Amino acid sequence: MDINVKRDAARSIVEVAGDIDLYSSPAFRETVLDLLKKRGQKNVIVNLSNVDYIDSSGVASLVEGLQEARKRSARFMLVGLKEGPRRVLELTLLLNVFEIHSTEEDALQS
Amino acid sequence: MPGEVEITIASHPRWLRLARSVVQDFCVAVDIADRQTQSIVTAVDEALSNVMKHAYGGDHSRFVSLSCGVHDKELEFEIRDQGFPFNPLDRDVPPPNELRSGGRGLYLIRTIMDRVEYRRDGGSNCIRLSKTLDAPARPAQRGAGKTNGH
Repeated sequence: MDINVKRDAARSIVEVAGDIDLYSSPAFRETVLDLLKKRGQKNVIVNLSNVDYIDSSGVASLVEGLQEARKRSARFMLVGLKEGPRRVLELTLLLNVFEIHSTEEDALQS
Repeated sequence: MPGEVEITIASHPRWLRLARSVVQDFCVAVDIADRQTQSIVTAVDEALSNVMKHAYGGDHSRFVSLSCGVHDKELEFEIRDQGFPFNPLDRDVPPPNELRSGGRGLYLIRTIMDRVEYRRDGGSNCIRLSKTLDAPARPAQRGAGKTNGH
């Protein structure tokens, strides 16, 4: 899994490529929580358009990100959900919990 | 159950991707629909992750084996390890709650698969995940054999 973070004063975009599973989710979790906790970002967009697979540890990382964002009155958005990750969020009853957009542009304009 | 495809991997999460690809290829070989394959891969991956986390407690130096088989309308995956006794059926699995950080793995396994069975066999944990198909599966392709992932 590769993570690339694009950041400016107003927002951070976390671009993930590869599978988010038990092996890779600790790095993903740390990246997301670091942006919210240490850097105080108020808008975090996680781009999952290059993620074909996410497991329960990846879902837990997303939930932690969302909870941390809410604590800090920040926005935490997901974009580019493919069918596999979408299905996992659906099965875990979380699909309507997250703010989900099709593209980064849609998220930025929302 | 004598599986048609078997793989043994070290108990390090870096090998989960390899195990997922084996399950995916097995499902393709027996003509399981794409959407169902994705879910089955998730369930087996979660079961393997549980072995690494709970039965082996994060010890990466052990091994876990996965056997994949199909019999008429029954798709079966058997996971075996030599770790601490860990019975996934012992745990209550309430529906996921957005505020809870864990517990979704077992929920996914039980939601996706039709049957989850556990037995302690000597010093081994043995978990069998079964899925009943709508139509008989095609027998696995001849030549699918034993693979060692370590």
